[in-house]
Amino acid sequence: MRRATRLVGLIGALSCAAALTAALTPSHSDAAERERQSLVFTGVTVLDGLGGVDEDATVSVSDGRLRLAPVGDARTVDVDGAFLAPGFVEANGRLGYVSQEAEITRELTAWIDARDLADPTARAFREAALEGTTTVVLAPGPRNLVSGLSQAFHAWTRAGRAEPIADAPKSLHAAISRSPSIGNFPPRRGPTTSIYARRPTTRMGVVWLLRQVFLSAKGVQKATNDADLAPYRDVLDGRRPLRVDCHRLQDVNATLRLADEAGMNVVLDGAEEAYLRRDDLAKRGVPVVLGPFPDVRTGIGVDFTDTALRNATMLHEAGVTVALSAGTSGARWLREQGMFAVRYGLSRDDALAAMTSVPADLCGLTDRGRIVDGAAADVVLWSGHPLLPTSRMLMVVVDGEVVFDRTGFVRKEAQ
Amino acid sequence: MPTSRALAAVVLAALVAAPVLADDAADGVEFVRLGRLHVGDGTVEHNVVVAIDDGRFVSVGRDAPPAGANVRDLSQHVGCPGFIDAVTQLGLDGGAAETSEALTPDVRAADAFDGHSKDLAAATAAGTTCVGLSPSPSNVAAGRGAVAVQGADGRWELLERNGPPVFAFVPPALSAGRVPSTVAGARALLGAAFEGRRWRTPGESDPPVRDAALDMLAALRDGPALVHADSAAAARVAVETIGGRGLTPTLVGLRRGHIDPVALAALETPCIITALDPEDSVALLELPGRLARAGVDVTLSSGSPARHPNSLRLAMALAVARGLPTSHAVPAVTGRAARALGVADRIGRVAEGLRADLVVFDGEPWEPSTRIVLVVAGGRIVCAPSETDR
Amino acid sequence: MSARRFGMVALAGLVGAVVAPSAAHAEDFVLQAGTVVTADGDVLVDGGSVFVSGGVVKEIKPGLVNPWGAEVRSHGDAWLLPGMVEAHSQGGLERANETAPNTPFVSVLDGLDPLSPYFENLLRDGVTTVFVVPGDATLIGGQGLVLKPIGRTAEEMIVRRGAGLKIALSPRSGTSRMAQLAELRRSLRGARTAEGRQVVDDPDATARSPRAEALTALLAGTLPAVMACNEPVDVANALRVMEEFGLSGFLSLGTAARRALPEIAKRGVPCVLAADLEPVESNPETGREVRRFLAKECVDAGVPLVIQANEASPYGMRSLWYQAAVAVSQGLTREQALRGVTVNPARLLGVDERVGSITAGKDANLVVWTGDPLDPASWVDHVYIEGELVYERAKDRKLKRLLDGISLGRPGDDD
Repeated sequence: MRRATRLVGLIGALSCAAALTAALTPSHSDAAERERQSLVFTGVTVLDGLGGVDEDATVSVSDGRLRLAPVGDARTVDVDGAFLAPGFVEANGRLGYVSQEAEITRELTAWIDARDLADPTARAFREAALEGTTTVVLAPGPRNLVSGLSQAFHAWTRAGRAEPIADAPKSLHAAISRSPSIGNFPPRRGPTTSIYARRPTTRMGVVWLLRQVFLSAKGVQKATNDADLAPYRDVLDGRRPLRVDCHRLQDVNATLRLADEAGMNVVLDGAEEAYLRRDDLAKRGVPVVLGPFPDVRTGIGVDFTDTALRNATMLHEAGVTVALSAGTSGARWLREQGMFAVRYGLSRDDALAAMTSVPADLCGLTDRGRIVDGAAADVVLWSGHPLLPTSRMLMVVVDGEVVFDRTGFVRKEAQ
Repeated sequence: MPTSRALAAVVLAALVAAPVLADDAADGVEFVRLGRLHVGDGTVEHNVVVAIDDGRFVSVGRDAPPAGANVRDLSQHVGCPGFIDAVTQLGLDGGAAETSEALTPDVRAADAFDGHSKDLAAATAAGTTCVGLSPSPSNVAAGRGAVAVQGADGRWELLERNGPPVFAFVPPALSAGRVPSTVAGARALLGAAFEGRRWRTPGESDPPVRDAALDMLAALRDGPALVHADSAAAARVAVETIGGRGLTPTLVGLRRGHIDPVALAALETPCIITALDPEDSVALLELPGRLARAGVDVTLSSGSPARHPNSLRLAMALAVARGLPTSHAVPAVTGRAARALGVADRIGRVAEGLRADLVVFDGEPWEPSTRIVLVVAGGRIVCAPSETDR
Repeated sequence: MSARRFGMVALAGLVGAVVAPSAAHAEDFVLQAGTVVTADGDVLVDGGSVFVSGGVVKEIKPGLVNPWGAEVRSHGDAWLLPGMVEAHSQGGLERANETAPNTPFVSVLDGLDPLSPYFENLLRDGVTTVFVVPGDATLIGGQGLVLKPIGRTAEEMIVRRGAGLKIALSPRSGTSRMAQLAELRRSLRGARTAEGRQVVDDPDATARSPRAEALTALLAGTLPAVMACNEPVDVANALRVMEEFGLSGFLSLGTAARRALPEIAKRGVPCVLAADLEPVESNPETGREVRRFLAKECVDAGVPLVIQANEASPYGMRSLWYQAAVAVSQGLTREQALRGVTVNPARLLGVDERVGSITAGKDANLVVWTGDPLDPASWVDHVYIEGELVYERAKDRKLKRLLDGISLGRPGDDD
């Protein structure tokens, strides 16, 4: 009743308001067509993301591509002492989901596409871009044995959302760790609504089920439903990388064992104890996507791993391909991952590569994460070296579009 | 609420005794002259005469009625089709949420319909002569909706037992403890079910899906469907899943759609925006206008069981105040709602052959200050607040 | 399973590098470094020499010189800075607050764990003075102490007793702001009356209630008030109460209280900024999000900058050096930022006679960094407190364990 009374009152009030609001109706900028202004960065120190440094360089952005020469009819950006670096590439994006990070009601959800899990308007994407991450490869979370396919996003666009990168390759994500089995109990007969009535229930079971599905896909074992095995066949045929979330040394060992049995290539995600097998990983050419760092005070990582803060350094020195990721802590912390990787022994150039060209290559985005002629224009202008906490973001360009621009503030302060 | 229901019941009791518009003893045709008529498809007619016979509109035009005909002169007033509240649980007795399974396409709103509901009586007094009844979005395939109308005898009755199927890509259908738990999972589960199969990969346990549910979903091949989604992201997946099946989806809810209206409009799918309220953010209140101007068919609905039937008119007023062009206002609560429910051939416009549901106001219907003069349902006056009431 | 790993970490965590202070008087010595930042205005880039005698800095001279003829401890390329001062912390306390709302008589002295890893981590981050005070969960939380992070008992650690009484103005759960203020005034008025009566009735009384004692000291101005303010309204209330009762002290601000910075500047009351220096505020109506730069706002408003560490960050803790670097990224000068973690907090805590800068006459709290402290690649190499060498990185076994992880071999091989 109270509500009804309120409604009547409001209807009355609205009649007055209606007249006013005609004048107040905001002007809308729905225009989805995005202007792509050409830019020329002059006098910047360019970090190319491949390990190279070029002081006092000129880089242009035109029609979504980078040019290492000036272009005409462009806005010139010239800030004293600024650094231009490729936008960071988060290879194991784990935030910005609509709700859950995986469809945890099933064990093997290879048909789940991270694009459908994403909320492109999520604040996490914008925050990532504000800290210089221009590409987020969103992964389904590792609560399932096989959790699905990744989707690469432009972290933020002028439209106010992350945009899927068209035709970006998708990798298949699996987990060989404790997480797929936590809390599960064996399925019983008859219908149940519990989501935990699923396999596996042990660490052994995790590997057992994965072995089963890959050997079925290979045709070694009989399969019941052929259509569902397509994503696994893609992995076996080398058309898709298999990313495996694994933390402890025993998980790394099991992953390599399974990769041998099925004859497939894998990339390790997390891999807190990978340093203990760095020579093997280097020999086999298995790349790792590290991160996030554990609590740096205790050194205890995911799954009670014995982490080493120099994990990245040791792996890199042993010849393993290393990418850095902020993983579950959110892509906005990727820059900080890089800073701390430097603190723990990686050179600045190697750390930057591990956040740009290396993860881009691992995710099949070979024209991103680097400043070379013709590369996609994902670049960030910084007031100093991007891996120093004293530097601040001045401009973020995503796919040729200026998404954030703080160069105006700098000019105002200089006056 | 109980008090208001009791009140509505008293009002209704008076109404049932109200005179019929057309005296059955006379030779049938009754004429109403209106100063302005919103047809329900976005067009407006001036100085129009509407002829009603046997519960239907038989003609709408400028021609003067024959001499001696029974003419009701409302030439100072504005008429429009009876309002259609597209997604409600008004008159659903015993709850509308069937949460025991993920896929319950065989649950039917018609089975819980109560034509004597006080809520429905109150709806009539608020100008709503038709409601879309929906199972609540508690399951991915929530069940089948139904369409009910205010009958000529004062009771509400079912117009369509087999309303559109209702799907949900929102919580509580998708939440941590449910199967499935994500929008992506809903796509996979439904996608498989439409092909008559379960999710099945070697080594996996069986998901709880009944054969009967699979059969029913596999049999759905065309026709309208209502799809609950809150954000543009969920809406995209929903439209791809349901539209990919050949069904014609209409999105329902969208109370987070204002975060990315451009992406929502890009889906080019009709939208039913529910439960607009003065306390909503300006961005949400602007959503109907933004979508309409982007060429999307926008429908408004009161949306949830606890809302007062007046809230449909309030929603229309708020949407117009925040940029919904007035040419979209009446269709948003009449013709487009009928289309979403798959009954546009029977109601929703003032046009020859359609059910004679008519509301007459003393001003424009989206102006909150205007009053209802007359409500006609099935050709009979079901509500006529007398002059002395004012 | 987890126990084995946790045990190993705990074992490794036993203090190794922290050198117990010897009871003997510190000898005279000269500390030389390539760069000396006194935080008192001088930056000696061509080397500097600091003469320490009796635990106190006696003299500072540019260049690597030794006119004093004392033992020289030379750190060629290193940077020498004063130990930083943490202005607001609950470190070393198991619980930060009592459950009763009004406990002026409790003191962190009784709850402090001198062996807490918090204190040894302060040394690793170059912090030599810390104000430990109860949390903000109750109205009057209790008394804090200014401490040095070294010692076996709380008493050994004390730099200043009666350093502050925590008073939280934001309503605790279950009460209103009005009730909170009324209760505070009631307590203070009660103490004032009791004080007067005591003087009149029994001037020789020695047995005073601990509650009255704390509040009497507060009213007499010998115990500073530490007013915790989450919202701008709390700042206004705090300033009013301080004026009404003639309290001295300072404010500890939440992120939202930044809007009261101009008012704080006008009244000249010192304050500690919120731990999160870059909070995001969102407009509920439009959903638009704006990131605020607190250090910059503070300096622009004319309030002396005092920064605290951020323990809520993803990697365990953002220590003072990192927070100072963030302040620089917001547009502050390095000098401003460094003062915000040295002299300014020392003044706020009333211990600037002894700590906060390398100045003749102050305690020899000196930190040798391998390089620029605002660069994550730099490490704290040596820490002196009152002339005693209390930390040496080369002997920090726990740090080595964190950096290098475990090695595979037979049990016991780890060492």
